[in-house]
Amino acid sequence: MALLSTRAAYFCREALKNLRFSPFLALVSTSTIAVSLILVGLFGYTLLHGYQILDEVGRELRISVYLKPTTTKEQADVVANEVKARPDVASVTVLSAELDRERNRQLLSDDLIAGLDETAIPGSPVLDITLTNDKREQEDFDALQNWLQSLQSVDGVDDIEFAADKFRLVYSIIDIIEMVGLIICGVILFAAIFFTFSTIKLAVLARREEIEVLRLVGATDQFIRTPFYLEGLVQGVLGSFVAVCIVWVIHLRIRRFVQVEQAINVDINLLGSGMITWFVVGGITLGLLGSALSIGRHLRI
Amino acid sequence: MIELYHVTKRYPNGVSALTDIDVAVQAGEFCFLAGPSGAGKSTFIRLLLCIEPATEGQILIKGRNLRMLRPASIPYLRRNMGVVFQNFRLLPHRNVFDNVAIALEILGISRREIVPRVEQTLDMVGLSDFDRHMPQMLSGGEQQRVAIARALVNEPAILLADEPTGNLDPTLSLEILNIFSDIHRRGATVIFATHDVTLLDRVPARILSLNRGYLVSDSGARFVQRDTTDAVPGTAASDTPGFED
Ligand SMILES: Nc1ncnc2c1ncn2[C@@H]1O[C@H](COP(=O)(O)OP(=O)(O)OP(=O)(O)O)[C@@H](O)[C@H]1O
Ligand SMILES: [Mg+2]
Repeated sequence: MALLSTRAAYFCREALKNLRFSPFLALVSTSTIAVSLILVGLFGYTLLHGYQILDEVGRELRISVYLKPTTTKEQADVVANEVKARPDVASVTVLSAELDRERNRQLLSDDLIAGLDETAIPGSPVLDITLTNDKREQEDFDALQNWLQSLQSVDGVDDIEFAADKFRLVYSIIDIIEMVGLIICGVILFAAIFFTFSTIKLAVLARREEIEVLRLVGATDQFIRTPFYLEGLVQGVLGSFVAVCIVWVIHLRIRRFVQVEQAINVDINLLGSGMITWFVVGGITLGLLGSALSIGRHLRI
Repeated sequence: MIELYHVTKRYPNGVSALTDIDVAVQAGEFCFLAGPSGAGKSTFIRLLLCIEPATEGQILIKGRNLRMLRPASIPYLRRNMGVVFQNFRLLPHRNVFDNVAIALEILGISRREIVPRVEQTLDMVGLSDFDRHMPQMLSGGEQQRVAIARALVNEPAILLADEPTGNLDPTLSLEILNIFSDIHRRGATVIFATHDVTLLDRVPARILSLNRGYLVSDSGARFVQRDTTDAVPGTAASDTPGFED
């Protein structure tokens, strides 16, 4: 026990000495670890939660099919029945031009419409379609889009408003992020390991003579290696700490942006327990991996 | 204590640094390893330290065959042997005290126990006032004495010196030789490699002469301590673990 504690004291002193020896490089490798943790963490978060958010929004979709003002009630019903036949349509409401105008009036502020002629407020017969509350994949959106396109050419249909149009764009963006993200994550993780590796390799190389002398006076491999492992560990832990701090700031900003400025009620929690676990475990792993690689290569006789 | 049987060392480039060396050094002997440059003195020392393996033959230290040693046991073998080099090989970023203390630090000895032992050893080599100095601030002779203190501090049974006076002027050389002689008188087995023939008759010692890798003459044991022990006495009993761990 006493042996353990004197050893521990020695190893800590040595590891700190190593860090002091090349503070700049230690800083570089610590920040690379932090940056890679953050980027990989955020990519992971985007991929996992991007779909989740889209799912939720995609469940409550409405489509407005505007009909030509001349359309009769019967014509409208024909179109409505056709729409109803689709399995993913939950309900269809037919609104007359007057009802639509009424709805628009409610959307506009009172002083805006004050003194306006009743007919100046836009209003046309419209089919309000609510889609079933299903999970939708990108293919479903594509299918929907195709269907709406064909609906466009149906007699009496004037214009179709589908709020989900932009979702398709988001889907394809996420697809790109997924692909590019995986590549970038790989590169960045590699860079983090490489920089830790380099920092510790430099420390090992700079102290090669010292290591040799330690060997000659009978130091065991483990005795010589431990301070370097400790150094990697410290860099990893520092890296994860920095990552947590930075993501915390990002988290607060995004939250404010989304909730206040965009008034969207989506619960974004960047710094969940999963993210923190990733930072801590990832940081330690990167640090130790970097040191293991550099020591493994340079500490043989 | 140290036995070599038909030991040959060939380096990968084909140079035969040692050829068919057959010699036994008893516990408590003071042994000069003499010979011109390139004779194989350093190689001899390196083989004993297990820095390199012999190409042929067997080497036994304290009865243990080095060939049978697992790599993990090499550090424990080395703890039985203090070693001093021509170029001192001190740790540049540590002060004199820590340079000596490291030999105890690797054994896991507590700082409380280390302090008096290091001070005592520095006293022995006449450097008690220099413990906070950095090695670069010391003269060659002083640096060499630090290296000797480091070799001595864990009270090893064997002291190896590879031209410890090679960088020093004649007066200093004698001084260093006298320290080794002192240690020898306290019971250590000493092997002292040198190409400086003027040192050879300064102390009563066995002289092994090497030339081009051959053992060309052996004066035989001239001076063996009668009451030898395995450690440098006069200080506490050795608690260096055996290299068989
Ligand atoms: N690592 C090595 N690789 C190849 N040849 C070596 C190596 N070390 C030594 N030699 C050769 O082995 C021979 C003996 O070298 P060694 O260093 O043992 O001599 P030495 O007696 O210590 O000489 P010096 O007095 O100059 O230190 C020399 O010819 C040398 O060139
Ligand atoms: Mg030599």
